[in-house]
Amino acid sequence: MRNVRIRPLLAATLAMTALVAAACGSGSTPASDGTGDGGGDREGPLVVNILGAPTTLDPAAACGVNDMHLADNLYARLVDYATLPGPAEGTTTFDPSSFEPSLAKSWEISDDGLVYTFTLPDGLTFPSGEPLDAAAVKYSLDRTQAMGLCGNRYLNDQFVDPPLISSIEAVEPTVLRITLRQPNQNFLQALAQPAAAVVDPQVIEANGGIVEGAANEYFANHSAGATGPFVLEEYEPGRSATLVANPDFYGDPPASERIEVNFITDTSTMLLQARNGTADVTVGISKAAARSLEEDPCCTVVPFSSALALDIALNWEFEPFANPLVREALTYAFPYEDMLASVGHGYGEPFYGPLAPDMPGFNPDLSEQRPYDPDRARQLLEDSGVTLPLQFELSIPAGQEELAEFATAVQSVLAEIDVAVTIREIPPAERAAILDSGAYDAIVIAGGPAMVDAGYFLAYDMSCESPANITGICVPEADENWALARQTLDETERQGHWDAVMQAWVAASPKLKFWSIPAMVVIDESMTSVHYAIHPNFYSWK
Amino acid sequence: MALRRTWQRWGPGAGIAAVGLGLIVVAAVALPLLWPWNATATDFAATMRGPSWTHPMGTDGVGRDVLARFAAGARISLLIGLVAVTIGSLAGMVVGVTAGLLRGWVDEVLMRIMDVLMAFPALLLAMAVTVGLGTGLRSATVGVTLSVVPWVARVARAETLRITALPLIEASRAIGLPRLDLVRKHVLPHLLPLLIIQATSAYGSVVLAVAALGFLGLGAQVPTPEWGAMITEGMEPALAGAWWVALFPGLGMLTLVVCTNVLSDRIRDLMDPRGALAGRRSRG
Repeated sequence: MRNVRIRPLLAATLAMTALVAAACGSGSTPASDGTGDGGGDREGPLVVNILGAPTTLDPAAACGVNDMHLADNLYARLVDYATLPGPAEGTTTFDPSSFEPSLAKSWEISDDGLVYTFTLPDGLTFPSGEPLDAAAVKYSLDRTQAMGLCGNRYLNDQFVDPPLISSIEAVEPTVLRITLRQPNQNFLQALAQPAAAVVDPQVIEANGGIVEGAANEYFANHSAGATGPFVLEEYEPGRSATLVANPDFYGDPPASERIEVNFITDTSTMLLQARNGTADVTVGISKAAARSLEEDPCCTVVPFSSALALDIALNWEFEPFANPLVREALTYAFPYEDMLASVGHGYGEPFYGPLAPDMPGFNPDLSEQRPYDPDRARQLLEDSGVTLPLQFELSIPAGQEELAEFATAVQSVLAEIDVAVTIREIPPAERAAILDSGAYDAIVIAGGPAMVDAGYFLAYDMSCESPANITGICVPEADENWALARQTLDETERQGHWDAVMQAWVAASPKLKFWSIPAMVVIDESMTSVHYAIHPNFYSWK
Repeated sequence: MALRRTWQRWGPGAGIAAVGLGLIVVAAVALPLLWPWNATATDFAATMRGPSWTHPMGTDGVGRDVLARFAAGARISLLIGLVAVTIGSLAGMVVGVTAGLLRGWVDEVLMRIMDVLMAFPALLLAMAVTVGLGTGLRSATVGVTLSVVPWVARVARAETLRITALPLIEASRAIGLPRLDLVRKHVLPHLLPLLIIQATSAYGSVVLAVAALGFLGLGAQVPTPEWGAMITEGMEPALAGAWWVALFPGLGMLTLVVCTNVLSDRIRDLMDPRGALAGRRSRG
């Protein structure tokens, strides 16, 4: 037995002691020398630490937000999100309900909402020398559709069979016309996605071309032509990327010449590097770490609005959760404010409804969080006729301490109303399969859509008929209004449909909702300009 | 007098180790009965509190009392160590004695299997088992138990071969003593001290391996208060200034492993005929 490995844990213990010592010492020692005069006069590149790594650089294959970490920096799109002032000085954020020209100089939408005509600047070329014109944009959008991967869903706003886009025509080198099958109030946002990125046809054709229904593996780790504000100088998959300003970019050059992006999965590392100044900007730091940096002179913690939320999806196939009284009972069991203050570290806003507070269409009057009323919860459980104690398994992704803490809190709270919860940690890689197969009783979901639109979001979170509905929830009345809202161009009329969705959804108590999750960004004192977008865009960062 | 003689015989190092181990055992057994806080009960109004009279080891991110979790973790570590070492040693002994007595192809097959098990570092073997059987304390215990077996089996086989070559055993065989009686009357009594030495020296390693699995997320699952898992839970809070969440389980593990290793060394010195005290014993 003498070679039984005791070193790893001893090392961990010693490392812990060192970390503890570091943590104890950090309170009185500013991490920065404080000599920075601001204004972006940094020596060397701007260093960005970001949570998670892309699994592909191909914008047509990008699925989750991690896959979109670099896309908006490398590729041009016809339109981009409009900009709003951010919550802290020197920051701005994206407006998910308003769009401005990017590659396109302007656009027109026909009265029936079916035809979008974009005007492009004249004389643009790719670095390869080929023209960057309407034909190239058509090629790029056609490619995304032909590959039929995640990008196709974004580009068609989840309408894939038949697709939302009926045709794309390069009318002239500077005029592109897109015709839709039905009106869609979210189409401009779809065109602001990485899925609508403009790629260089010559680069694509030289490296495998387009294969219908399949990903091009080459572009998983290579850029598909430089059309965005940056070009990819170095890329180490899963670890880091170096971006440098694109000399051929059609707009003004980006505010920083060189940006080093580190993809980090360990939130402790993010905290340490934010504190000691290794990273100029840290995106996606944990709430606990952010709270600990609030008083630290090293940096500024900025919680940006997002459409993300923390909720527990209840599997309606699991017999007790098919009973609306059981579901409603559980919603009254939680002291939401206390839980938010402790396990949520105070970041977020409690609500109860299908849409998070920062989602366009959200109505606060119809989304008030249920009050904490354990007696009512017990009574509803008794009325439901379910056998007590009610037992179920709560799945959480393994290795996420914040969610483990949250699940522990849920377990403890529900024990008080005679509900016994067993926590099951599932490998993140198996999460999608577990959701698809319905092999769960209840599952914690902390997240939201990569496209900030209620129609897009509810297509996979509520729609009765959608094959993309990951939790199998179906509220027919809400579903009808969801479908109408997506096609309604008039804002007031559309809000009426969203209100109906919220009312029907809340009445059905389909799942447990807790609070919204802001996007946590930590900014070093040397930074003078940071723009937050759901897909990071470093264009104005300095 | 007797106490002083025992103290002199075991030495101050082993005495201190015994006291340290005793304190952990007392914490594991008595604290859950006496301490008002429960290891899994949350208190949202008292999260991340530093050590105080109310919570001597502080509280964690959901307001659980770290001392209560420390004691529950001690119970888990002590118990798993005991179970793994006992079962692993017994299994190893059966394999080793069988191989040593039967020889031939049985010996070959059994010892090659043991060689295969020994080819993997213990932690890696335990990780493979937990991946195969599913994460959790039960599969972690199976994994670390498996890692104990080959080491004990090899020692037991070697000792069996040595004992069965003694003239006494040859004489016993000559008068027709059945094989099982041979094992019961002659082999086991010689083997037991050696097995005790092996088991005690394995104990600390087993405890560490279980904690390592918990640390890696392969052992105890949320919200089980296992020391390795508690250290993982406390990593980020430690960086944020809440040092107590990870420090106390870390210290507990350090104390338990050091104390059991010191005691096992001393036991070996006292019981092993080739140990450091063998000469003194034979003279005295």
